[in-house]
Amino acid sequence: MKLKQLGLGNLVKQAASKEGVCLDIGAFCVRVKSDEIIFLETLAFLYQDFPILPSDTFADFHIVITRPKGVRHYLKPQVIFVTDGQQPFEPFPLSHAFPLFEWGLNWCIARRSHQYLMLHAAVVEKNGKALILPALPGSGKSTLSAALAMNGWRFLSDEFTMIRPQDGKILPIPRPTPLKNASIQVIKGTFLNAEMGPLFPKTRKGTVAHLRPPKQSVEQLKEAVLPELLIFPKFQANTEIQLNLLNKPYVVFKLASNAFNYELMGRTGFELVKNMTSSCRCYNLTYSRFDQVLPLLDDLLMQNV
Amino acid sequence: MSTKIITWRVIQGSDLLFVNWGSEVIVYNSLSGETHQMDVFSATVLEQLMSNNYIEEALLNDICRLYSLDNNSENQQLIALIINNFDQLGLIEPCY
Repeated sequence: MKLKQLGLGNLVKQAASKEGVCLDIGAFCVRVKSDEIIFLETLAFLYQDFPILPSDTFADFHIVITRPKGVRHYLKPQVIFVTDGQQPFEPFPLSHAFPLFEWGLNWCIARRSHQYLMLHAAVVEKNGKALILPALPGSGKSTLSAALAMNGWRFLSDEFTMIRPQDGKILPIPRPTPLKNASIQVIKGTFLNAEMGPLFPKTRKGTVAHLRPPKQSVEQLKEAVLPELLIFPKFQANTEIQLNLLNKPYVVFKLASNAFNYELMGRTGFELVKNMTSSCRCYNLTYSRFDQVLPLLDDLLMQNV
Repeated sequence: MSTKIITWRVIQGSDLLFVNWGSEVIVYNSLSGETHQMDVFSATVLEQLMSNNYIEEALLNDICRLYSLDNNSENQQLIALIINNFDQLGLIEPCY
């Protein structure tokens, strides 16, 4: 069953129950418990195409979104993120419950998912070939991956590229993409069918709005894929598009420093990075316009080298 | 006062993995978890040290024979520099 088939009323009841709601997000199962309607409404909209699993399913992460104890909530309501009984972050304003859930879930994944090599990278796929976009925050990887997702590519993640050691394939986690500040209007203005959640102003990253992942991408959330292209993107306003081939040793070091758990994975991490670097075509990309970058990436993927 | 002659070896317990990409080589040290980049010549010196313990002079002799190089002061300095770098990177250690 998908989350939207449950309906908001039943979601509210189930999320408040002892079992909570088990969401299948692709590589992981997340058990969510909450009694906050404002949070559950946004969850229901942005995760509407995600499957719900039976309550006795093994969950990788147990998350509670609720109000802190005390009288403060009568004046300025707040919300906390609790995982496995611990509260790793300070409270957020109640209105920011959904961004807190998303950032908290990122934190859980980054801290615990060491069965996979985790790159800090967006990833999309077309024709069975994955394009990995590793980058630092602010480089435009979320915006570019959102644009690709709205332009016929399958969306796997805007934040984590999870590589399975057994076969080097990438596992999808096609969660909503948090667009920030100017990127929100850029995506809305360019892709009229883009569906966004509410605006969250004054977060630590400015104004944030989440792009709902394409339905087709969510339906393929169990389909792992091999990498083909590794592109380090950088958005730079008013510049001509530039694509530069990278040498492989340089890419190994870039990926090693980009990964959340390269050193922790030891030899397995090295083998995965080495194999991926060997098999992929690797480039630096500077871009400023979608009408240039989207056809270029389509063409690049189609080339057989 | 005589200079002490050091015999060098690859750090005990390390498992070095080499990946050759043309003129550059990546070396992964499973003991430290660190990844290193070096030229092919340096990588050959490291591989030689994996096969035997060496004093600097013997290493120079073997490398010069392997590469058909002159056993001169320039190459002696090069080997000394590479050994120093490997020592700094924790790839080799003196053995007594």
